[in-house]
Amino acid sequence: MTKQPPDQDSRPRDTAAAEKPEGGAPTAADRHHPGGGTVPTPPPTPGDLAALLLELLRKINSEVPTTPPLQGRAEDAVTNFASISKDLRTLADGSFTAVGSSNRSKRA
Amino acid sequence: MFRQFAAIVSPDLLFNAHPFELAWLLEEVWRQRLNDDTTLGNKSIGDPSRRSNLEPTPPYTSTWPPLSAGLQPILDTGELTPPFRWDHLIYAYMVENTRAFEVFRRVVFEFAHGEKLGAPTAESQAWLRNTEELFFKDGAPFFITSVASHLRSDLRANRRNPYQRMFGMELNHGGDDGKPYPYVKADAANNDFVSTFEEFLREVWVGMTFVTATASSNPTDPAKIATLASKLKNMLMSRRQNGNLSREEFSAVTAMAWFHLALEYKNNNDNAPIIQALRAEANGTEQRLFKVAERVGLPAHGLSKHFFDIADSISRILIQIETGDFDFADAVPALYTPVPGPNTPEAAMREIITHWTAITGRDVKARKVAPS
Repeated sequence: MTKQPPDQDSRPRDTAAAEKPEGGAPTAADRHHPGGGTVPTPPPTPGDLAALLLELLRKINSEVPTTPPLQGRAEDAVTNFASISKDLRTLADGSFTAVGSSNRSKRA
Repeated sequence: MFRQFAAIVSPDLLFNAHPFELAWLLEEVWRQRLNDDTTLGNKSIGDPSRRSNLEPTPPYTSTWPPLSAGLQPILDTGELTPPFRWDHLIYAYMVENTRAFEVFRRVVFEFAHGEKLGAPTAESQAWLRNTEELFFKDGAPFFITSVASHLRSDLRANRRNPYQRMFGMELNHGGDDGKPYPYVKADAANNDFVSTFEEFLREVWVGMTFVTATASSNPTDPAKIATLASKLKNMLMSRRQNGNLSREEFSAVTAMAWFHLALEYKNNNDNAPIIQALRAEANGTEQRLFKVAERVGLPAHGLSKHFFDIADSISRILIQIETGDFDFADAVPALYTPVPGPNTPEAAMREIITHWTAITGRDVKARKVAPS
């Protein structure tokens, strides 16, 4: 007769864990792992969660793509455009000096 | 040009000035224009900093300045004055497409021939006189803006011709009867302007979309943008050789700026005298135009807001393209990289892309689809 691999149900169980009521406090069996004996981290407190969240936000913010700074000819082009715009400044760009029109203040 | 004056003195002073003062003022602007003729500058005639070598009328003397004290600040040396630069011809093209010129032509016509629109108010009399003197007459001899003659007698056709030569484009309206407007078309015209300019806008939009990209591949092609800018510069400057079309440009932009200013001017709920006379008060430049148009029974263009809004930005960008600033791949990031400040090439390009798409109906934000 061919030996079959044990199915899920036939594996050895941690009976204590299985019997733990849902949402209950960690039992001794939770803390003592059957294989290695390492102690799992206790569930985070609300304060821990807030700190984690803050850290995550800080990390996301530090990774937001920033615009590369303009240098050389590109920087000159921005300056030159501002100069052309200044030469062609209109009423829409700024107010006029209301010479001789006392009833009219600067543009609305 | 008048809109630049209005940044210095109240538009009321301009509207109420004597037409001779205004004509003289324009003459002085031409005299005191940007004119970099230094060996160091090495600018060819026609360049944005050296548009023409034509002389204006002889200068006035200090004992006889023909300008009233109110207008004198325009010529005073200050932060904004002189030397003067005027808008690119594209400004006139965009504003004329709103049909503002035709609408105001009807206004002057009606006031000159009867009282269909009522009697003009006392305040609007000066505006009507100035408008007729400066823009619906041949112009006084020798003045730089007097481009009408026996050889080219139609003022409206005189603007359509440079539009066709510089941009290969016609105005979106014909005559009052709806028929195409007759004018002389030149063989040497920049017929590739629109396709090249749209390709330029499309590539700059790609740059804007990916300017902050770090994790994806970036399809921005600065070399291609520089090539297109250079191509635009070469075709525009070819029409401007030795100062060609500079007078026509100056005449066209001053005419359109006059009507634009009359519509744009709104100060503490006060409008230009002609707008008040027509009871065309409204919120927004294009809305005032629509109301004036309604009064005279000649519809303005429905997309007038886009034409008005694009005019300044596209004028400034084309002037800068003509200077050759964007001929180099390392300069073009200025076109799509946001930087702080009110007047930046990136902000201007964004405005042009938005309004060009609305005006032409061709979405320059859409990626090109390569045929398989």
